[in-house]
Amino acid sequence: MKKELLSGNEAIARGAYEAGIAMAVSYPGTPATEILEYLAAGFPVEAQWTTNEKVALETAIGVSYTGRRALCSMKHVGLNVAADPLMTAAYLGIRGGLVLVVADDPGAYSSQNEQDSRFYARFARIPCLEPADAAQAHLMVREAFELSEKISRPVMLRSVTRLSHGRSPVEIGAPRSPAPPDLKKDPARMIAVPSHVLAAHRDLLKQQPAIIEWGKGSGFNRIEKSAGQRRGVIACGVGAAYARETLGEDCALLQVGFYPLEPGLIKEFGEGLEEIWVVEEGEPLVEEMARCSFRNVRGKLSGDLPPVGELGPEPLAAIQKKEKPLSTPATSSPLPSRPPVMCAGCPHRELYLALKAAGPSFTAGDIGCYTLGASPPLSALDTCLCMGAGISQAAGIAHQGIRRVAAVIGDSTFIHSGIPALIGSVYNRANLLVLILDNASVAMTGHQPTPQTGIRADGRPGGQVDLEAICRACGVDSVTVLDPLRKEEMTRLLKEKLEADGVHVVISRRPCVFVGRRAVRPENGGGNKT
Amino acid sequence: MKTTSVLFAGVGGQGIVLASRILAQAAFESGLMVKETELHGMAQRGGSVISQVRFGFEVHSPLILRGEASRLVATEELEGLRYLDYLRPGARVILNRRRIAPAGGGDGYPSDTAEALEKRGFKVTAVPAPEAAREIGNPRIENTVLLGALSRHLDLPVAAWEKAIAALVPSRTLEVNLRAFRAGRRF
Repeated sequence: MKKELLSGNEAIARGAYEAGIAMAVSYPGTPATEILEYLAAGFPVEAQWTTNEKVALETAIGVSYTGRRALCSMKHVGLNVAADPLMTAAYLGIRGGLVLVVADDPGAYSSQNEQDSRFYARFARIPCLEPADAAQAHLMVREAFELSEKISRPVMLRSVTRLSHGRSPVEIGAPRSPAPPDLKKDPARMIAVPSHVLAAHRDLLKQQPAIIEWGKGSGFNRIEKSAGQRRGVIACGVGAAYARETLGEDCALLQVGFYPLEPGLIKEFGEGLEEIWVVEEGEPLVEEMARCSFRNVRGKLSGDLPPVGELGPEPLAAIQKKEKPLSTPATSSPLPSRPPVMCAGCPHRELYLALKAAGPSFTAGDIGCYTLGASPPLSALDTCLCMGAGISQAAGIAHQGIRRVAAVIGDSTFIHSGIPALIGSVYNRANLLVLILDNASVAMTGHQPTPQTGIRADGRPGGQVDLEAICRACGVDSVTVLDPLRKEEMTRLLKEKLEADGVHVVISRRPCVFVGRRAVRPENGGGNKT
Repeated sequence: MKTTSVLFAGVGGQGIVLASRILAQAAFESGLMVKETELHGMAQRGGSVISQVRFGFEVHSPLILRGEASRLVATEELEGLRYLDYLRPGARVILNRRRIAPAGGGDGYPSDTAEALEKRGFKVTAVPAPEAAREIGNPRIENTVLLGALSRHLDLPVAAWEKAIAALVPSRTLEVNLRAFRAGRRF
């Protein structure tokens, strides 16, 4: 078999392709973006960017209803948006295999939080697989499709930044062909009305032992323990790679790659050990379980490991040396710092200079490259919460009688979740200036095309939406489009609109300096083009 | 073969991701186990960035432990000083002669970075990659010059490096990249 050097994201994409998916669907978000990009750039699979993660998951469920396999990928906070379809799809179930890949970002390298998606899997009562490296991700995604069809439920695969954006050799396999479409109606399993829901919930709970049994047979949770070992480490996902790197032979290992854990597994592992360490990126989910069985459990809850940030291998190296992991001094450098900044020639900077000159009382921001405008020297934004939040936050503030309130949102974020907020502020007669920063791109995640550009993920032409028309249809009092490089004109316009009653939209339109140079980024590690 | 850990440090946009991928691919082409990790997204916009490559017979973690890296490739001088915690004593630093002032201004930017590194016991290969790249006629191949310099301090066959470069750079720039790599081997 041929080996290639692939990132975790590419390995996941490759595995899904080999599993015979008919379609992949996603919304860009670091660190999950390249899963869809890799499929779109090099594989004969329908790969689609869509408007947000909820739409992506619902679309994937639709694919699954035709009996075909679908991959849906997103970043961790995207799952908050897609939580609604997930929770009920877990009850109702699916037909063709449906694998939901969620990439967490411990350390929040490129995110607004570091939430742990494993809790969503537990919440929804669906299985979750967590690979240690790219090769295991490639294997697990294929197994996840098998499991999904066996239990007729969505299955989650949890990645983290280190896996998604880490490369290692992967033995690639032959693809299987997607199943032909075979759409069937099944009201009891497709219509979530009260008369179906309790039975569906009961079925989901009844299935749990079978799910656990599958996990047991998968070999993804593995005890490596020999006589005389006094210390043990329970290592989840990438933690297992760190454990294998750092731990010596005097340390027993329980590698965790499948949830829910079978009852008794931790008990079996911990028996006779004087000290049990739990190493998991994210929240202390497994540590909590281990504490139910043993007192000598050490991790984040016990205060022995840092509860915040990316864990990495450093604490394990300390454990091996019998040092206190928390006592390792943090890197402190007297050097001038170098925070991320807007790129040279970025149109957002010009817009912010005009906005500052216009002098809003408060500016609610949103998620994207333009969030960098919150940092000095611009300091042009006062909030950043989650996708689409800026307009609603600004409306809440404006409704308290505060004038000259502005909201700043990017074109793609506006389409993702800004539109309902805009309608809400029109409906309730907020006095608000909404600035849509239209750079014709999802720039932060690597310049993916948006519905406005009419270019699809794989570069083919698609339908095109018109931002001005959307805003007008939402009922706003005015829509003005202006190039942010016309700074004086822009300042005058923003001043006027900040004073005006009603909801006013200004679209600041100039493409990202990188757009046009590459519409679709070829993400190509091993030169693979199928 | 013991595991070799190489750290790349620089400024977002300088092409560190591609440089670390070329090294990873070269180790892979040499038949070794390799793990590489990089940062994307928010972190890459003109900020301080690192990539890490570890290769050998048996490698599990892509992350370098403190005090472990034996080689550092700094595509920018200030960034060459930022991650010294990760280097082992006496490690080799391939230092690009390029200074990029941070957004907040250049206050506190050390005047002589090579000297600062040598004072702390590191071996320095200072590479005027900007000039070398200009001579070859393409300013975007600085990192390939640095990889050429790095290759002299790693036990990987030149053929594997060249194969890796061919696999990862755009084909129309292959020739100029190979020239840059060979030029780098002179430092």
